[in-house]
Amino acid sequence: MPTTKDISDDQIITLLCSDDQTEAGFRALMQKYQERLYWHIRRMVVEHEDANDVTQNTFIKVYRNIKSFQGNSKLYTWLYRIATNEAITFLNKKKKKPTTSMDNEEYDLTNTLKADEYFDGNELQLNLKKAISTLPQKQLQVFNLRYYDEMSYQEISEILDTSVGALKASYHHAVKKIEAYFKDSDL
Amino acid sequence: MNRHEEIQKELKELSSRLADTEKQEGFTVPVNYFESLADKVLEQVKNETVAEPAPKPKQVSWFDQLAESIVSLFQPQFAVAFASLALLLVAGVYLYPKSTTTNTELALTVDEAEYYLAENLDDFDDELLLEIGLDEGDDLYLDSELESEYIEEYLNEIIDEIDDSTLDDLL
Repeated sequence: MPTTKDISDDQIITLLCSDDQTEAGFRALMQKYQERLYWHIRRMVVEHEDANDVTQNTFIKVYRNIKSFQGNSKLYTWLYRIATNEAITFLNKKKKKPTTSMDNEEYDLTNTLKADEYFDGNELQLNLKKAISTLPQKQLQVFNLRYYDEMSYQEISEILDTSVGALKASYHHAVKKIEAYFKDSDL
Repeated sequence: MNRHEEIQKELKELSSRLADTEKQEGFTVPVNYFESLADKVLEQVKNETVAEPAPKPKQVSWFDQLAESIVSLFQPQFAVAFASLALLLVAGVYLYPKSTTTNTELALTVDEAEYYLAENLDDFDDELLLEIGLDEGDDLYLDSELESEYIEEYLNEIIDEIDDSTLDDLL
């Protein structure tokens, strides 16, 4: 049985759908995609503890629903879609909590990252994170998927269910905003 | 041109500043985090499977509840009781004396009633007789606010009718 990251999506689905191989199939799926999905989620929710919760919830949802996966889209597209939705749901819940610092206008990503023991970036990386955090939700997702995950517009289109043209425009706007942020901050 | 090069070229055209920036994010994870993640997820999935929550009771509308109650009355165990109760009600209607209707043949005249009272006066207690007297508006009127001059006047009127022994008792 293949257990490396080279295992194909079809092989993973076959394992998952056979009653006596479900766990093996799920472990193979996690081995192949857990890091990519974790980093995708982490870029959205920023803190490790939050990313850990959202990643686990994402894979629990995948496990529960894998047998209903129709194969109409690629497996990784389906996984990214679930992860993105989970992260957005988490962020929306966090914003609604009255005690959360995200409701405060003085919420400072710099302090959050500096206090996070799982962030050891330099000043430039920290400023880039701050610039990205100022983007609207959709532009932020497009920028992350294109800039960090280096996905094609077609793949992003399948994940976010948005036209390629609209995605290109979003990415261009996002890059320009980040550049303007750097200029305004004399970076 | 591979995808990485293509994306870098696009980025360079939009922002050379960003294209030259190192993509290292600065995020880290705990040691062996990814090695143990699958076990943690599978453990949660298995725990949820064992402790499957009980299904929520079906929401029943008030109309359904009413209909169910009515139908339950016709169940065998209730039907016997229901029939017995109906039978008792019918029998009660026919057998219960018509107390509200006036039977002129049985009615007493005032004279007959007074005669009966006079003959059997000892059988009635004093309080009952007093009560009847008050209800009928007799002159016997026990009002604490009755002025004293009227009491004296009344006593003067009847003083001759009271015999000496009774007067002694009162005084």
